[in-house]
Amino acid sequence: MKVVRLMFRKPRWSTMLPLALGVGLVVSLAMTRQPSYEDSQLRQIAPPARSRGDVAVMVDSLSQKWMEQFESQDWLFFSYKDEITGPVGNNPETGQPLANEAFWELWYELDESGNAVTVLVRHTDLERGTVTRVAWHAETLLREPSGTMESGHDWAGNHPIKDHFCNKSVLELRPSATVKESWWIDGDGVSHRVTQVRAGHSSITTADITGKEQEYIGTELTCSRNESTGAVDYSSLAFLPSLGEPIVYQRTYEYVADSVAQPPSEMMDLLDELLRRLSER
Amino acid sequence: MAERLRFRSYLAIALVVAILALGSHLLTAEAALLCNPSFPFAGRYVQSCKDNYNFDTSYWKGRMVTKVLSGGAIAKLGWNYWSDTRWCNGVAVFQWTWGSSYGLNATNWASTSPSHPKGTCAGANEAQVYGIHYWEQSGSSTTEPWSYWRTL
Repeated sequence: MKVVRLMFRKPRWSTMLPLALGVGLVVSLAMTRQPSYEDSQLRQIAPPARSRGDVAVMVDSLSQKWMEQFESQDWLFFSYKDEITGPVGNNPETGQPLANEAFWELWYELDESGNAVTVLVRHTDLERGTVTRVAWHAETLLREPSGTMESGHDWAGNHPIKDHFCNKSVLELRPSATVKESWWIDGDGVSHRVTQVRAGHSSITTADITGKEQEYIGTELTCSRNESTGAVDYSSLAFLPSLGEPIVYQRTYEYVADSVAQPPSEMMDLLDELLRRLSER
Repeated sequence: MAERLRFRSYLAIALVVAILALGSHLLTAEAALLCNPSFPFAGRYVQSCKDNYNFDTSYWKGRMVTKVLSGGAIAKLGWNYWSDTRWCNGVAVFQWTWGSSYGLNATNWASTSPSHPKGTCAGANEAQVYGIHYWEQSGSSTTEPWSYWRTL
């Protein structure tokens, strides 16, 4: 009787107000939090199983949706963050340690067929703040600050969206590979589609991913895409050891793609320098 | 009698097929090697080669070969250093290095074949292989550098 009376008695502001504030704070934090690749681990829900062919069609259609947004004659700007786990070694040009975490900015000048005519790259080492800039044109690249100029690099057929590895991994599947699908919804209510391609190796491969040689029997590539825009959100590449859990080797995330009138002046200056050197040949 | 003849003809056909298959296999294996021109050293002709890469879905695998083509065995040979660098959009993102490795005495061939993850790159994913081959005989030695680009 006492319990019933307690349950049905009128709520008091002194007890309800802190409770309401607490709930409000939690909801507000959940809504404002930026979606990241960890979210998929938390919010994955198993969808109905679909055939590999259906998954390939879905990935292709999302890729088309992403591409259709950039069919103007402007430069295509593309940026993302990249994390490589384990020791990555030293830059052979400078002897300095290579970056485990980096921010990539790329500007593509494309012809009518979508082939790259010019590519400008700005790479920022997020641990040390050092910047490497690259200009590519006519199968030649110029790299700063080393000043290295190299010929024979054919990047023309490399479209940043069409040829993204998240599209290729599903479309160029080996018969033995398996595909898993899941989805998650971000704080804005947007649905994201996750594909996980697991491919076994034809033979056991010995590689030194973590700094020591180990045997690996397969690979797992995970890609998440925004279903309304088709854009890739994040991806991860993991290697499967003969025993134990997959070892994550690389993650890419925070993708941005946009049309811009022109790259920044520091990149155009580098391109001018490359064109000047090419004309002197 | 006729049965024995038929068996012999089958055997001959099988032998020819086996020889052709072996020959084609050897030719393919040899064609995969990309060799620098051979050059004379210590009364011998020596040569360094880079095997064409094998690509798995996620790995690339190379092999460096150090050879003595003619003139008999050599005291020491091998690769004394080589490295692979993975370049994403013209920027170095991963480098693997090895130390020295020398062949045994009286050998005429040495090789090494490591494998690495291809990784992912939103753009142009390339590998550069660099190495120095080494030959030693009667207190003198010679080396030859090797450099090579591949799209992953």
